[in-house]
Amino acid sequence: MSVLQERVWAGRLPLEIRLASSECRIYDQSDPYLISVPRLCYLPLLLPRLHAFFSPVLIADPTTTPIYDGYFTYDSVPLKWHLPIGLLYDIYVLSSSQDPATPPLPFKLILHFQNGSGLNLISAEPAVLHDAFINSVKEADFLRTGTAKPIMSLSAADSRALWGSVQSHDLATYKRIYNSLLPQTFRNIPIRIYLPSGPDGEKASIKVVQAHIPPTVSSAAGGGGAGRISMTPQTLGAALRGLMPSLFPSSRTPVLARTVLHGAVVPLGSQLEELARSATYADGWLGIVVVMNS
Amino acid sequence: MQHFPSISKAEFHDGCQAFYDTIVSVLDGNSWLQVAYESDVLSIKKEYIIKTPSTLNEKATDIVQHGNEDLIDDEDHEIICRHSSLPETDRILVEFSILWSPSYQVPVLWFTLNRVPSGISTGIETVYQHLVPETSRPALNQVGVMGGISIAHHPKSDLPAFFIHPCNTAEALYEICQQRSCRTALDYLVIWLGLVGPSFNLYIPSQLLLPAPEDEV
Repeated sequence: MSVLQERVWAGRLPLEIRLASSECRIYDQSDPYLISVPRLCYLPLLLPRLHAFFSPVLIADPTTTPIYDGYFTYDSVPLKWHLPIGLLYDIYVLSSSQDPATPPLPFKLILHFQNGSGLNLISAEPAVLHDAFINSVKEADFLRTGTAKPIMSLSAADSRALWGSVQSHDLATYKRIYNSLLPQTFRNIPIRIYLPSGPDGEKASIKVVQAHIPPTVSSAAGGGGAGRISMTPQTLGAALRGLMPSLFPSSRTPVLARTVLHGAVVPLGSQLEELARSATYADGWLGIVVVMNS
Repeated sequence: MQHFPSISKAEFHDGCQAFYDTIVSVLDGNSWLQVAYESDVLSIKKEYIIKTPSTLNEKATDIVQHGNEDLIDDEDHEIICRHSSLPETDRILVEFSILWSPSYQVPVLWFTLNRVPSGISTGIETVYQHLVPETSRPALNQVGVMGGISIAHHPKSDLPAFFIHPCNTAEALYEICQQRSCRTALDYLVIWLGLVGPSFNLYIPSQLLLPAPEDEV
């Protein structure tokens, strides 16, 4: 299981970040900033170095342009700063890529500092991002245990170190703290299903489906006495079939759509509790992106 | 209430509808400007009278010139303003919205600041300074990274909004309700708002607190 977690943490994504042409002194286009980042990383963490890199070509005075006013767009869609970069890529790029075997890389992003189009943005200051991360960890904790006690009983130092380990991509520290939050048995699975809209839909809209999904389901015991009920592990396919029967008519075969986690297709037969122990994003959530079969 | 201290989505819906139906009849003459219940969101708009910073600064300067410096050191704006014969005030319109949380299965209080006068920040410092009564500040500040108030995209409108973190809501309700009965979803919402609202001077009209008529059993 920890092998799976190590693989998830090792996942990286190449980014090509350009400054919005309307904010750039160089008419044609300035050099892009190229970087390979962990899929579990958050975009606002890149802002200080991007601000420094693009300062010489910024039309606005860089000294009065707040670093954390920076935001990113992909294909003109402003990206949610509180979602991990890998999840954003799966939602916006993989879900609409023609050939899943050769996904378009790098992830091409445009950086903006001016809010010219009247977008309603939140400046992802370090405290705001940290707060959003901890809230997300708490929410996952609440789903797993039915209380927020495990996270509330973390020492302040461990709580800070948990966020620090995500920023410095330090799996050893992360594991030490995070594993103390995991209960023996889960009450519910922290899972969100992202449904990007179809080609005719509005490209900015993503539907997010969330429900209380227990890790086991009762099923009639095969071959046992009449009326005997046993508990079997909940699979991804069974959960999706329950939530969206029209998209997932079968709990075993991806008839109309497939499910992507960390850039890879995840089999519908996967047991959710196993995934939720080892293959979550750093905040403890499984972010499953539904990709329609073409 | 089947899962008290949690509330199901259906119960929440019933409670909001009952809350709305009851409150529209008693809305006259209190500080609740507008209440609506639409698409699973119970929204309440309330105007807050605030003291503008320009007023505070003028008074501060005034006092400094008169050599009364210990009042400034106190940093207590209330004291400074007491010296003003005609305090200048301004208003902020706060739009509260109450949504059901699918994770926590309790109501969550969201709010946005609207019509913020120029010169006043739209950030969290304004919330603490102008909305939260002084007595509630220490308790709110003890929780979380930024205190008990966080900022995120509103689940329905996607606009930036503040919310009160709900992870302790169920426990707090459970404790309160050992003393009070919570029979209906409306009871639940009234008790919940009585728990969360005072941190923002948001009070329930007393008519909602009256016991239900006997014949309703």
